[in-house]
Amino acid sequence: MLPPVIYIIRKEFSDSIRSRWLIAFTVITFFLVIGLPFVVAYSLGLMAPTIQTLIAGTSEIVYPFLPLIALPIGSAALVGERDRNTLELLLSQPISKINVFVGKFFGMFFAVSAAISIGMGVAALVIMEAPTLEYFSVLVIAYGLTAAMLGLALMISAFSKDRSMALGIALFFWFLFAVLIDMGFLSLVVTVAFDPVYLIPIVAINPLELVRQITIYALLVGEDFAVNLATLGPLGIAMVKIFGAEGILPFLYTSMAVWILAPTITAFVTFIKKDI
Amino acid sequence: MTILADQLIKVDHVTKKYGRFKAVRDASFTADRGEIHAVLGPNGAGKTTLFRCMLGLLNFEGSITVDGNDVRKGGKWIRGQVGYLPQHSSPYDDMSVEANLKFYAGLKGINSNRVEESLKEIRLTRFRDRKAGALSGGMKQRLMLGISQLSDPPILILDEPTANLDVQGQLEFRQLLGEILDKGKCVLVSTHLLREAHEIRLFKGHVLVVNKGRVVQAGGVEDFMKDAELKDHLFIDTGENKPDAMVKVVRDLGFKEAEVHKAQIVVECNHEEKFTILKGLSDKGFTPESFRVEEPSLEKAFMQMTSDDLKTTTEKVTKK
Repeated sequence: MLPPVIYIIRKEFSDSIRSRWLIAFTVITFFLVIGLPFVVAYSLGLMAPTIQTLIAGTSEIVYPFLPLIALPIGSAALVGERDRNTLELLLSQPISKINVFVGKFFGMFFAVSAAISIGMGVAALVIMEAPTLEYFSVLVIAYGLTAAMLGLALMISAFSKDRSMALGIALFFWFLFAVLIDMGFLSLVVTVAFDPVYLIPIVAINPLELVRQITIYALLVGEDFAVNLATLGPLGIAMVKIFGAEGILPFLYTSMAVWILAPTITAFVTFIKKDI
Repeated sequence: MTILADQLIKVDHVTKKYGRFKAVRDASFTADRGEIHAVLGPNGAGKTTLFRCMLGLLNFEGSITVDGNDVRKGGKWIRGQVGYLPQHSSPYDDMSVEANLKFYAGLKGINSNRVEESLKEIRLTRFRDRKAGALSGGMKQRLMLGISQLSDPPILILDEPTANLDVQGQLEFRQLLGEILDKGKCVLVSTHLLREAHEIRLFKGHVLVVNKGRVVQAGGVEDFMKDAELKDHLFIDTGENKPDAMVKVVRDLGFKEAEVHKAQIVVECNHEEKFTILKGLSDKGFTPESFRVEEPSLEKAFMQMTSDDLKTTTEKVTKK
């Protein structure tokens, strides 16, 4: 017999993968990846997109949409069981709440990751002249963002009273990350009025900006980027100043790890301690 | 079926608070293997909360053990010994009957061959591919019972099992439940419908009366009736005799409450006292045409228990 957690992962995966929301975003992601880098490339007068163009295009245009897959699905995961009156029957089985939480997290993570792999990966294979594994790193970063968003969504789900409340809060967070923080307004204010060093916390509190910076420093700029600081902009200069050229990626990875772990652990503890 | 020691369930001074509200107050009782307990109480009495505490689904004060295992430490194991049919829960509506059974069989660590047997037991083989959401209330409840019985657990907890069913559904469910009750399991069934408790033969066993979060009575049916201090009603047909003369004899025997009603004398008395009355009448030359005894109803006993409890609570509040 398989461990009970596998049955929960399987059920959650199958529920999520059949969701119209997920299917719709897989298609949207596919067309974003397949279409927009071409637009970018041709607008720059290039004949075909290079891998760099593809990575940059994905990071700028596709990443902001990814939380819209994980957040709504994840926000319904725990509170949805309560709303549909299925939670009591589920928890009265010889399983622990840890099984339920872990099963739900990984079931949804695998489903959303599969959607991303199909949407982004297949599109990339179609448009790349010579398929390269470099684009796989972009997918890995996207999986990281998915894990962080699922953790946040589960935290929202554990705290919310019903599904509609959870969905509302989840969409607000997407708006916060993708629009409010990211619209450049905050960055502009900080750059003009204060030391650019203050841009660093703005990056750290926004997982979308974190994955974009990780993509830039891990995949796009060369190892000797610090030689030509002028190309990095005020944020890059501030990060080199604080962390040194070698410290930027560890800082970004650590911040991302915190974004994955902190909401997930908070969601887990809340779910475990809460009465049904 | 796992063999367990006696005194299977021990609930000891359990209190469950939601903020300042006490849903269960200092509840204590035991239940042994093979016993059937009817958990009676009005809506909102705390029956469901008590069951959820017993399954380790809620945090509570006090102690609950099942076969010596503490619910707080061994909740997972205990849930493996209990088939629970919650009142306010349902299977997954978007999954078929069979898929629901297979999913829960997986969680219980049961071989999926058992699913086939279960489908037969709950008479849903024909509907195996139907989505649970498309089942009637009665069929859905049978599916829930099937899920609770997948591992053939030694303990069965049923929370208001027929509360949301129509008459047809109730009849079908009771028939199915009757078959399970015959298997000699430790069963706790909550209901606020005493008629239902009669019909599913719960009163062969024990009674647990819960009111305002407190267990106000726990024991056998006889004890329950005794504690309620309700008496039999003896109806004596006077026939050719003069009712007034007869009632005087009965009153002289010490039964001051005796009354004449049409051609009958109605006397409230204990079980043994009715022979004294009949003999007393006979000694005075009155031979009753016929008589019948009406035993106190469970409804009356239940009302007495819960109203006394209500009175006590009110008195306590007034004193404060």
